[in-house]
Parts: sequence; C-alpha cells; structure tokens
Amino acid sequence: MKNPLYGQQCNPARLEWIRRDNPYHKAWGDPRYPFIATTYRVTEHHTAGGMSRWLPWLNELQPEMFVEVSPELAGLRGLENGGWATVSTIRGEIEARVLVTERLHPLVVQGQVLHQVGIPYHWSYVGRSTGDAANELTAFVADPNVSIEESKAFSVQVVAGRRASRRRAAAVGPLAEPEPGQEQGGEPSRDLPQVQAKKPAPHGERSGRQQQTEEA
Amino acid sequence: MEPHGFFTDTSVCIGCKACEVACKQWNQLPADGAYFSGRSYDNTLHLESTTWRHVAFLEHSRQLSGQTTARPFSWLFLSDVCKHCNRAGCLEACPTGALVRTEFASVYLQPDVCNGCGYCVVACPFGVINRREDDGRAWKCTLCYDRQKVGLEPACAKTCPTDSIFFGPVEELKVRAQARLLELHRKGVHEARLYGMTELDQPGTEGLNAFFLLLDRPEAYNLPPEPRVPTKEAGRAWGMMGLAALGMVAAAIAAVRAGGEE
Repeated sequence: MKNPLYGQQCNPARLEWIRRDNPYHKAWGDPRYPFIATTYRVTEHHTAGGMSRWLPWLNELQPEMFVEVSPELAGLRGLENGGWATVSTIRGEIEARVLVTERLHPLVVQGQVLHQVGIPYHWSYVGRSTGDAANELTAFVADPNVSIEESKAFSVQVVAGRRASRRRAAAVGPLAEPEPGQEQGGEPSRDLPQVQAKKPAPHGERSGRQQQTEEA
Repeated sequence: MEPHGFFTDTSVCIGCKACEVACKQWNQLPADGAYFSGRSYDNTLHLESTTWRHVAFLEHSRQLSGQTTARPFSWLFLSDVCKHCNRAGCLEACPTGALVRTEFASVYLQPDVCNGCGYCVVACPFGVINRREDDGRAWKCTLCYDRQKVGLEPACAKTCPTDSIFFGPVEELKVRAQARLLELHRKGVHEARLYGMTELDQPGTEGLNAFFLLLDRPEAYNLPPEPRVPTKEAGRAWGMMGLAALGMVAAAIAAVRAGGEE
C-alpha cells in the first residue's frame, strides 16, 4: 500500500545490499506477499534467545516458535490454533506454531483490509528449545546512520502446514518468481532506482547517502 | 507471629511470569516440559506439584469498564498461587499430619511426613495441591516458609517488578487491598472486586491468606466463584447419614411390624 501523503515511498538514504543471493520483494503492494508482519520480543526470552533458550524454566513458558494471527486471517488461510503455519518472504521461509488471538485484528486502510502477522524473534537452531528464526524473513535494509536492520515492518505470505524444506534465497535463489513486467523496466521493487544503478561500494553496499557524496 | 500472606493485585500484573520462574528457582522445582498450548501466552496452564506460581493469560471478547479497546476485548493476567485458606481442605484431609499450619498462618506441607495418599488433592477446592509422578508425594506452595523464617519475603513477591504480588501481614494487606479497590472504583473500573479476602466474602474457605483483586468475575479467571472446603460439609454429611440410618431402622421396624400383623 502506497503512502498517500508522500510520493517517495522508501527512505532514500537507506542501505541495501543488492546481490543475487539477497533478493528483495516489493516494499509495498506486492500481491505475492499480501500480509503485513512485525517482529517483537516476549518476556520469557532475552535478545534472540541464544542465552535464554538453554533454560528449561523459560522454555516451558514459551516452548516453541509461534506466530500470532487474528481469527479472521486464520479463517482466510485455514490456520488452526496450535497447528503449524509456514511464513515466507522472497528471502526465506519459516515454520511456526499458530496462536490465534483477538489481540491482533485486521486493519482497514484506505478501504483495504490489511491482515497482520505477529512474529516473536527468539528462536533459532541452538538451545534446548529450537525453532525457525524470524530473521530468515526480514529484508536486508538498514538505516543510514548506524545500519540497524529494518525488521519491524515487512510483508509476508502465510500458508497452513509445515515447510517441506528450509528454503533460503541464499541457497536456492529467490523463493518467488519476479512479478510480470517487473524485470522489463516495470515498477521497481523499491523506489529511487538510481541508487541501485550505482556501482557497489567495497562491501557491496549502496546507499543514497553515498551517492550524494559521490555526486558532491 | 501474626498471619502473613499475599495480596495479588491483578490490575497491575504485566504478565512477565517472573514470579513463576523465581518460585521454581528458589524451590528448585523442575520444568514441566515444553508444551505449546495455543492458549494466549499461557503454556503451563495450571498450578501443579512442580508449578507453585502460575500466571494465567485470559482473553475474553468482553469490554471491561475503565478500559478502552477498539473492540470488546479484555486480556487479563492472574498470578495464581496456593491460597493458604483459613479453613484448609488439604490440611483437614491429611491423615498423616504432613500438612500443618505454621506460625505465619500458612499451610505447610512437610515432605518427609507425607506418604502420598492423595487425600489432600481432592480436598482442595482450587485444585492447587497435586502429587508428583516421579516421587508420589504431594507438593505445593510453602509461602516460602524457609525465607520467612529468616525474615525474607517469598521469592515471587520479591521478584515481582510491579508489586502485583504484595507480601505482608494479612491485616495490613486487607487495608491496602481496600484502598486499591476504592481507587479503582473511583477511576471507573467498576468490575474490580476482591476475591476471598474475608470470611464474609468466601464462607466456604473462611477467607484466604493469599487473596486477590480481580478485574472481572472469578469465573473469567478460572477461579471458583463459591469454593467450599469439602470437610466443611462433613457435619451435615454425617447428620444426613444419621437421618438416613434412622429412616432405615424405622422402615425395617415398620416392615417387621406390618409383617407381624398379617
């Protein structure tokens, strides 16, 4: 969904790492990824859970990676409370338990119903309680000042059931076909395409800020 | 010593579960295993022989007064614990004397005396006490008797970051609870109520040493609205049994007499 107040949709000073193994899907209005997702902590775990996932007293309180969805979204995608869901972006896919809750509900923005997915980010492959990591989903976009990754707002697809394999864009390429017309000079995945046209910096990173300094 | 207990004010509970973990750590209780319940953030679900504090997360499609939400919805937290009833069913049912009333008025289970008969399990109107499968004995909250002995407050109350769990002499707690209830009512939280504070509130247990301030009906927290300690019924039960026996005797005599007249 486009920002109705301002033409420029993405932060022009953002950092991106444009490589074949790091695909981006459209930052807004991508029909392949129709649901908005956000990540957050739960009180039982500390940072990404690398320390707290070793403690059985905490693991029994939050035993498994889960995603939270509204009853409406659960009905739409056939998700069952306590069952499994696979959440994907173009970068990766994760499986998680489903927690259907009325705490989340669809937003109506500009007459369009937007469903939300809540994803805690405390699980990974080590510890006594393991699960898929939310960071498999998030796009590598960083803020221009201190390169903190944008992980709080992105769009995902949700399907019921467990994933067949751990697909990663880094291993198998983008998890979705490009939108028709997108590669032939159609609407770009993010705006400000001239940033992407510049030569990569030594670490393969490009930014609008770099571009400005180079031009100056 | 004067009676000591908990006043658990659910209106300031933030659902951090620190009490649950602090209790397990101090009392060295094992984890019950990983089980994803799908019931809000509550994955331990109830008090157990190895879970002496339990934080319940309750989602209801119900608007409570004093709350502003986009749609009718309430998300309630309750840190549940053994209530240390003034009239304790477990204690009265215990045949070995393992359950005793301490000098702090709490109900304490002596594990070295308990023989694991399980009478207390069915005698508790709240379902608090239970037997451990691995050693067969019953276990429950001790109100941190060991900590109280050396002048410390129980581990859960010590760790509670919002003082939702408040520990102290029961008479002081009652004053505090009344003040808090008045304050909430003044702020428009009309459904707020105290649960089990006095014998008048809860004649079935003659009042609790660990009582609660709730924001909704007790049923919304899976608490019994009118718990009754089973042994309170004992007198009536014996009376009824006596009546029944008398009736049987009368009927037998009547039958013999009627038979004799033929």
